[in-house]
Amino acid sequence: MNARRYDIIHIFATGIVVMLLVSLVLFWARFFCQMNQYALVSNAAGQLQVRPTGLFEGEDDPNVVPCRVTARMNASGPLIGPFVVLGVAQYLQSRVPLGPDSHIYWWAPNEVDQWLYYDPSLGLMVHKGIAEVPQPDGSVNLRHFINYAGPEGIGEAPTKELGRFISPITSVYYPRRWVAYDQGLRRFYAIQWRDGTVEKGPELPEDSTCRPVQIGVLEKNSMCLDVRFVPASIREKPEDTSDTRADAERERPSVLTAIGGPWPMTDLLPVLDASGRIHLLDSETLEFAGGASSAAASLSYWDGPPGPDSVAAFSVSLISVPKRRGSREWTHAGCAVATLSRELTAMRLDVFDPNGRSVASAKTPSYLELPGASAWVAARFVVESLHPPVFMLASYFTASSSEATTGYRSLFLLPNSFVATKARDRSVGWVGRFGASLMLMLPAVALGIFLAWRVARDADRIGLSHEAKMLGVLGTFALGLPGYLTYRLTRPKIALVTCRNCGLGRRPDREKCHHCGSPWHVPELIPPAWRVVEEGNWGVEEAQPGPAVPQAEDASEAL
Amino acid sequence: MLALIAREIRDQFVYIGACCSLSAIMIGSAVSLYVWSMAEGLFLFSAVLMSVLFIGFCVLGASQMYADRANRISVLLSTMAVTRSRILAARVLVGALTVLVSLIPFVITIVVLLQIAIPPVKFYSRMVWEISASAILTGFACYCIGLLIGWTSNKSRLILGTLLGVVLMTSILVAKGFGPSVMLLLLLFIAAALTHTWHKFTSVSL
Repeated sequence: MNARRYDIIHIFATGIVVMLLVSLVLFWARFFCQMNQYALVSNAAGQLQVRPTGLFEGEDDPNVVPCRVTARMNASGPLIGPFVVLGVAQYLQSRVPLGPDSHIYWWAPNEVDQWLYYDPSLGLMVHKGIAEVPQPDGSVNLRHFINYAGPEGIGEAPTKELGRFISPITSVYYPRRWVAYDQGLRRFYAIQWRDGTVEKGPELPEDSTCRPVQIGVLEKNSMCLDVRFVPASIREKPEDTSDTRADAERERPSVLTAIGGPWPMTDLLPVLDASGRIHLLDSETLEFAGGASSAAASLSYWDGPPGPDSVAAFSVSLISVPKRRGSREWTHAGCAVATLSRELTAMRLDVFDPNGRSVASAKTPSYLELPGASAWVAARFVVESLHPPVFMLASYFTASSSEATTGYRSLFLLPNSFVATKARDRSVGWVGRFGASLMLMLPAVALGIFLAWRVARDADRIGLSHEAKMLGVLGTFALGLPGYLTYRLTRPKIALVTCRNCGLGRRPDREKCHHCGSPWHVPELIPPAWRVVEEGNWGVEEAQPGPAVPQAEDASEAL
Repeated sequence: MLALIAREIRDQFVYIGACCSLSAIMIGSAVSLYVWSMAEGLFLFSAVLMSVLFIGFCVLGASQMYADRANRISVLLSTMAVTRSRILAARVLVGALTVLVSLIPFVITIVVLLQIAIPPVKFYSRMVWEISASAILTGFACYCIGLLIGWTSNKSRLILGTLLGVVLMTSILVAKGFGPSVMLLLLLFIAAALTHTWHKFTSVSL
């Protein structure tokens, strides 16, 4: 291997090591800032309440404690939010059986060993377990069973007649009537294992704007956002309304028996589509109530394209009321939707009536209004400015296509940076967006220029070739701090000597000074004319005379 | 080559033995926790012991390089019919073997325990494979960090660098999870760190 290739490999290897380590340090510094931002918001404005909800008549009755909907940011504990969106938590959520993104929908290992899962290799839903078979003599035998369900039916073997699902999404398992949607076949299916039937819904038209992405319990990162509906109750002492906790203690059992929760109490199953709208699917007919164009609610979002990918977390609570007083049949009365922004610093709560109209809403105050918020914003901006400018530019161009929580797992691109946030701002044209992003990138670019200037100066000082110098300067400008550190670690370690012509440091391994081009006067190592000898050796030294004195002076100067 | 490997194992016997002992403790603890029906604590306990093991790998790498400079082992070996690349290769092989010998039995134990506790491993076999592969690669990356840090002659820098390096390398799993992307990143880091070490080891004056 020649020396040039040897050095290039060394520079690349060092660059990768430095880039990864610096990116990790910057990642955790950013995370620290984000965590403090989250803590600030969740402590100061971590709970929203809508009261009255505007869904029911008589909520303004002074004898009634009206219904209320609350949304809390740190539902599962303080500071849990930023950790839930980290890679390890997201990975476990997506892989652990029964997790939100798992293909295993039901599992009862200790009871009857029942399993319900989607087998991607077969393209079929599989239901297996142990069934109790009553015998004529009254005893019960246990029998292992396995059933397969495809779009065309249910069978005991994975035959072709069952068809194949392509990309199914399902609701949480309902033993009676389990609804699935296939994103490839664009149909809803109701699978009834007990009856051994699969019902098909009508195919959604190709040009339909409705592209379902979740069915049933609608939530994302629910550990960092919780929404609850509290029904109305009779007030014992209407004059005392000061303390909510005291209210709760005085409240009698609910008289308005509305209930709310993530599970639907009616036959209407909530379906979230990719644009963030929530539709209600009639699980009997497998058609949307009111048609695919009417939405029962929608997710709020702050920037980027509307949809579940633009928010860090959301949670939906469906509100139902009995059809008649004392009835066990329920009807849809509305829903409450809470959403959390990408940066985990803004929360919004909306209440929708049964027609999908927003009847009440609440949102957290602007983050910058909170005391101490500006300091954390500034700290995050400083940390982001240490990031390589080329990655910041790439973040600008990939901002719209990234999922909201990707920024909490990304080492190199910054989808939640100030630059990327500006790139998603659709209120201004692309020229304005790009200009504003460049302004935000200015500190990073300035740092890149400063470090590149230092590299250029150092390269001149140590006499690097023009090619190597330009490589170092451009690499440092594009990669910022990691590029500069790579240069410092891989630059030639040369001890310079003073040039006799220009007085600057010159390389001793070059024939000419790289500053002034003067040749290198190699000193002749000639022994001096004088010697210190011992007394008995006079005769020997006299026999070996030394060279002339001026040459010896020259040699000592050079040394 | 075998003689070089044998010599390296003899030289680093303390660290290799410590890593293997820690691995044995992890296996014993995992089995005990399972027998005492404390399986929920298994994950946390394994994570803590695994972190200690990663520090052990990093110390092994640092010790190989530090001892080489302090005891002039390469200078001695270079007087024999062996190249510096082969000396380094023997060292890295010993490091890789230590990582594998320490982690693979633990992984097998966990898989067996899962097979007993939650029988259909096939449902989460991909998860087990990804977590195991990521852990092994992180262990080897920590060893590579040790190789990079071991060049310093300052002992306080060596200790601080070891701790910081292991924390940073392990944190990559927390930040990115266990999937293919983190494995690719770790492989890239390992390749780059080994190349850097090879360059330094073969070009430094004896």
